[in-house]
Amino acid sequence: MADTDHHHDHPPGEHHPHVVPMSLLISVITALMALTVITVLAAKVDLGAMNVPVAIAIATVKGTLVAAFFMHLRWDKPFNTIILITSIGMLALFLLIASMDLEAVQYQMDPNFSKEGMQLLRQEAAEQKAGKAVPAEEIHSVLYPKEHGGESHSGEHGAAPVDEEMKTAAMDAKFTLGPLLGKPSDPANNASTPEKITLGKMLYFEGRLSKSNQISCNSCHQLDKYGVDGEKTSPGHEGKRGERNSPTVYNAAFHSLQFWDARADSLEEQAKGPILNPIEMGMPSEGSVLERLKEIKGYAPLFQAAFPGEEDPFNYENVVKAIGAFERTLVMRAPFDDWVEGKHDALTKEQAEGYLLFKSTGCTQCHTGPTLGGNDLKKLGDRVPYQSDNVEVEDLGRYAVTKKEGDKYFFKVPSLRNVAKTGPYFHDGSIATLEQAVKLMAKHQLDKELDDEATKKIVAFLESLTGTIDPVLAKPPALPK
Amino acid sequence: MGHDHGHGDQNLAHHFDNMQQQFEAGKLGMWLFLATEVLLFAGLFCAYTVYRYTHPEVFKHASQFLDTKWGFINTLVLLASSFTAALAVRAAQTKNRQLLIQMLAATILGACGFLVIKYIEYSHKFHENILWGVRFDPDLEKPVMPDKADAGETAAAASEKPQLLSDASELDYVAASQPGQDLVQQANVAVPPTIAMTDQATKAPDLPEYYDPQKIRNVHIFFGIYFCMTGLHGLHVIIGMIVLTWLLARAVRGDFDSGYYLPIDLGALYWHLVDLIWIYLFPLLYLI
Repeated sequence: MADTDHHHDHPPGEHHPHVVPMSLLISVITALMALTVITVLAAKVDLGAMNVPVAIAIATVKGTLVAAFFMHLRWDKPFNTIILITSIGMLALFLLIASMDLEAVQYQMDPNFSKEGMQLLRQEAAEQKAGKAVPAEEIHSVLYPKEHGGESHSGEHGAAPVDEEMKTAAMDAKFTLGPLLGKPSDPANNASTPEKITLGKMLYFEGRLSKSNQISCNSCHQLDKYGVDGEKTSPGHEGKRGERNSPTVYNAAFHSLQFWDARADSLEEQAKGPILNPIEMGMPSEGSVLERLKEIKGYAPLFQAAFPGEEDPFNYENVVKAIGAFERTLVMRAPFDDWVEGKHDALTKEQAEGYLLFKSTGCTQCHTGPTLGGNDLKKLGDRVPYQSDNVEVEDLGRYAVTKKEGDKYFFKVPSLRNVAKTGPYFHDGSIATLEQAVKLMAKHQLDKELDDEATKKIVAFLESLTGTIDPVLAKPPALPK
Repeated sequence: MGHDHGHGDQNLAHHFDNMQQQFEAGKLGMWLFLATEVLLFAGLFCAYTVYRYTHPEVFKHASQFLDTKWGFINTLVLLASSFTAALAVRAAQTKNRQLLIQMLAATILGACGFLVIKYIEYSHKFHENILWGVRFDPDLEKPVMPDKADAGETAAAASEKPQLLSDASELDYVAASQPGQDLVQQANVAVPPTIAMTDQATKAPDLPEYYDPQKIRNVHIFFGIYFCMTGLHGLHVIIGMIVLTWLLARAVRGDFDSGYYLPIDLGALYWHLVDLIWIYLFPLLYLI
């Protein structure tokens, strides 16, 4: 009975209004008007991360004034205030839950806005904090070159005018795919050392790591053939063949998922598999691998140098660590990287158009990041079910690992680097040509029919992802006796 | 209404004991309704938050299509009409019929002014195709708000946007890519010439390209939420106008001469809430 507090002399039940003093109402409206001006002025000043909080704080002060005085809550029964605050509290709860969720899902909101792209933005933010930001004037001169005497960064003296469309396409690629190949980062427990890399290269080429003494990593992932063997599926121990196509080892260090079914998440984990696989290198056990290596006298000093301070460096973990360290040196850039970085003649017009077509078709939704793939699992036949020609074996992909119904036909999105040289295609190597592969992908993953011309352009673009093999790197090392 | 219940007040509904009880019940009911109004807008504020968080560049860029001047004037108009609504309540309390009529009329006038300005803004956007979804198709060559698209704004836009994302915690990828090159150089295995070039690759590209207006995608998202929020608010303004007009008619008829003012109070509460919501919409939409 808020009112009766003020009107003790009135009989109960009779309503006597609380009249808000005129002077108070005038003060409130004056304050509201002033705060409106303040919020507009505050928005003109760049407060960085505080821009939104300041605007909300000012709005809340205004809102409180309206609610307390205009809406009379100040003198009402407190229960009315509780109702209002409860509803606002619910709003705050929704926002809190939504914002917690956003922390986790922001990268998936726009598949074209890659995680790496986001990281670049964050890096810029950090650089700005450190005072290394590009001066505003410079930004303006790039955006509006005409106002700055027609000079722009790309308009170098005497250079032929760059096709604007090509330039835009290259910038688009940089934005869409994020940073291109850098140096792969070492896992925490396997820092690269020259000794480790040397040992790793030998083990990579070491046929004696197989039961038959014949098959090495390089047998199927041939460094002089873009890291593949060109076979549908690779011949392993006693010529037996697996069910899946050998992917390239070049740039595999940038993949967060290894194997077609992503059952390994690092190069080291991956390397463990084939050595012991009965139809690949066929060694019966980890112990037998180590026995083999110990028999080769020359390996002892190499292991000791690569893993200094370890009592017995001969263990399976170290074998795969060395191989992983070596594989991290298998970085292969391509003309596409030069193009994205501003060398506009690195790609032909057809290839640049191919890139735009590649993107507009939707391929970059999955084939994104520095290796244009390799970091995600997707269902083969996502839009239109896919039936492989290879009907004898039904490969269920990721399902074989997780046994989850929802993982059926999920495979790793393969990297497209060097794709023109790493056929045949698809997980089972059943597709012979890149043209076929592109058309099938568009159809089954995106439900789009590509005509021959479009396919040709996209294939031309994919060829720009082919690098140059370094003959020194691919040359087999002398193996210890 | 209109039953004489023996209490001597024709404004007392028969199911209430007395005027005080009727007054408090009326206010309570109104506040419960206002709470549902807050929750109605809560969904839109949530959607706004999600969109702005995931597309900060869109909001930064899109706000150049809104004219702060109109938003500012409309805020003042709405605040003034809220003030006159409060004065109308006061006039009814003090049984000043003449002032009550004037204040209600002034409040309605404010509502009209708000809608006229909103109409100017909307029609401009419809004319320039600055709309939701695929209907967002403005001529980007021509700055829509010439005063906002000048050098200062562009630079400010460029410098501010990353700060919305300012969280350096995920820099590891880039940082980790820098050291360790010498290691590979020393190794007596072949060093691919490619690795030596990677410094460039890991360096952030020049800033401006991200802020090229042509590069910012999905700008229609902002206008989707803009039209939803201002549209729903505008609908409330129209409803408020109807309520106020009805109250004005009753005031002219002399319904409130006796000092009974509950309908005026509740109508004013509704109008204040319309104002309250706009107080948040203005900075969130116009002052980005």
